Amino acid sequence: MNLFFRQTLAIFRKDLAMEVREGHHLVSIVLFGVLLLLLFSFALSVDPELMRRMAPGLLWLAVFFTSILSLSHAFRKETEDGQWDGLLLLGTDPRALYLGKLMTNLALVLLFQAVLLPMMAIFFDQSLPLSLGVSLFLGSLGIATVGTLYAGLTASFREGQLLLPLLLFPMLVPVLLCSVNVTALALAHDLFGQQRAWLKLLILFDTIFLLGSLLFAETLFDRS
Amino acid sequence: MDMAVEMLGAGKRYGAHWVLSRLNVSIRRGDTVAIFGKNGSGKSTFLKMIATLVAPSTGSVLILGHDVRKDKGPIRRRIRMLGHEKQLYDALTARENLRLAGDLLGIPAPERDAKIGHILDRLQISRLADRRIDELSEGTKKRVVLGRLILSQERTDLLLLDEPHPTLDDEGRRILDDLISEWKSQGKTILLSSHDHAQALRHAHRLLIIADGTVGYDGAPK
Amino acid sequence: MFVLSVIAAAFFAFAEYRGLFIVPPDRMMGDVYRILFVHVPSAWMSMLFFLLSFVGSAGYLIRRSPAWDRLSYCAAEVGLVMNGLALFLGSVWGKPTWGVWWTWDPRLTTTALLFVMYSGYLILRRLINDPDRRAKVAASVGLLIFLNVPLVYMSVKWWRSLHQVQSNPNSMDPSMVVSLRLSAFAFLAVCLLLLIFRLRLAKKEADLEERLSLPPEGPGAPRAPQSKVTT
Repeated sequence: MNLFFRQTLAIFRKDLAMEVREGHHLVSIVLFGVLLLLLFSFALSVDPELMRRMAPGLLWLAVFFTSILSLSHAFRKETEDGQWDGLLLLGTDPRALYLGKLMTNLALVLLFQAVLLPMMAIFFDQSLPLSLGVSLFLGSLGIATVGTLYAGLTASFREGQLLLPLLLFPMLVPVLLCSVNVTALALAHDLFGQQRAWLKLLILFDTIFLLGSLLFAETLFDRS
Repeated sequence: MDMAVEMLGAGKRYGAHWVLSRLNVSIRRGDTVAIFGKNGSGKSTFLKMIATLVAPSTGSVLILGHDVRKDKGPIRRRIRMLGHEKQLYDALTARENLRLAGDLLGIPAPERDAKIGHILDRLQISRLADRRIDELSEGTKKRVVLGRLILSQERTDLLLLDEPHPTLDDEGRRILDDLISEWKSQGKTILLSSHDHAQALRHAHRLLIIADGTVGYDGAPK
Repeated sequence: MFVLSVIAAAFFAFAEYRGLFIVPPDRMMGDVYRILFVHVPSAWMSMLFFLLSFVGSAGYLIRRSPAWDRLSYCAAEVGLVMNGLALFLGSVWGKPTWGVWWTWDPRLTTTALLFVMYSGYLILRRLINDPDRRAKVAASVGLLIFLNVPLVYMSVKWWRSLHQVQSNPNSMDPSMVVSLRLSAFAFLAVCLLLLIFRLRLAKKEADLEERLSLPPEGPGAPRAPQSKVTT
């Protein structure tokens, strides 16, 4: 058990160290997300009321597209020079590899949120209650769990990058729907009110996807 | 268990192409075997199959008594491989790469750092230890990979070396040859593939030639 | 097999003819509703065959025999065709009756997403060359897809709902009910035949691939491996 967590943390720390040193990749990905929000805002600027109502949906769309980019990026380093094989050969449990990558990807998605959220507040005229943090974290977790699994799977194929959105989007629909709703509720300062069923649903989905991904990581994250 | 490798009717297929077939190979523990073969003969796939990175499409493969299809964990704990790919992270330093390996292997931190210190000295790359991998020469990178091999050598029974000599300079080759001799005297099993036949045969007393995906010759070197 | 196919084709023709021409028109929709006799069974078939594909995936992960894997992708193909047909016909039916080509209610959304998911599944299969790895990965993804279906349905249902209330047999004229059931069975017969033909083709492809790809035997070479030998 100890070794398992040690491996997970070792992978997470390594990823963080690499991201910090090669920050330019992340910057361009984040800028892409900001650009998306700008375009959405511009396209809807004729109807400010509509824009306010659509803010949660557009935020999560921007997060989703940005995450696709960073998920692919997170695994590129593992397939450039056989690093993935190297990790396995050192006795890394494929599930520890999955968990470590999950932590990395979750951190990245939360980072994007941190940038995109203020953008949204500015361009879509929203105020930001604290409860928003809950909805953002849970939604990001949902994206990170399934996203890490599929991104890892498609990293080893020639055209894997093209296949990732196709495979990932349907799997994320439940999480995205819930996240948009929960975010909308939080923005309306009503997260824990009558509609907290949505919050419970999101937690349920996150749990299912996390456990499911861990289960399948053993097969999908090994090489043979 | 005194067999390191037992293959019976093993083969590997990708699509319609059998990269390896009809492999019937037995290697006792403690043997040193040289593996020759042209490029594209299936040599690397053969080694990868032993390393559990490639599952056999047919037949049975037992490494150190464990079935590669079922018991990958125990096998991976006791074997080490040096392949074509360096498997190093370019943005990290040599020391960080070795530390990562130590963590994944489960070596306690103080012991890990002490070992890394010794290894860097032995491989004569101590002063380069804190440079990023992509700033190092190919030969130095290879030494870092060697260093990773040595990290857990007390519990390594089987070493797979896929063309280790190229890109190493003379000093590097000398260090490698010393290592191989040491491992031999420790009773480890070594599979050494090389295009430099003379170099390989200095260590090995048995020769396997892979041609067209199967074993063309298996016996004493002539 | 040939006889069975002819019988199935004849049955199919009969069932559709009855539905399209003989059964009386609907009170509210007139003749437009007749598309139901093709649309509904194709939707049912797609669900059934996706379920079969799931069974194939699960079967492979438990048994590891290639036959289960073949069931998985052949059923997925039939299911996908039926799914596409159902989506198309539903859209065609929707315009005159609801006024829109498309709407995002639970059933339609789930059906559309199933189309995307299984397309992804089939594309993924083509990207993996190693037959064993392909089967393992595809089976895992097959299970994940199926796991996702109830989640999608649940989440969209809570989101909104305006799909046609499922007609109970009670609210339909008896002869319509009969026709629908006839049509459903006819579709089932045709789809099962399609599956059987596809499975046969898949088996032949697999055998051919194995036979073509073994290198020629030289004199004195040991016998080629036939089947998996595990200890």
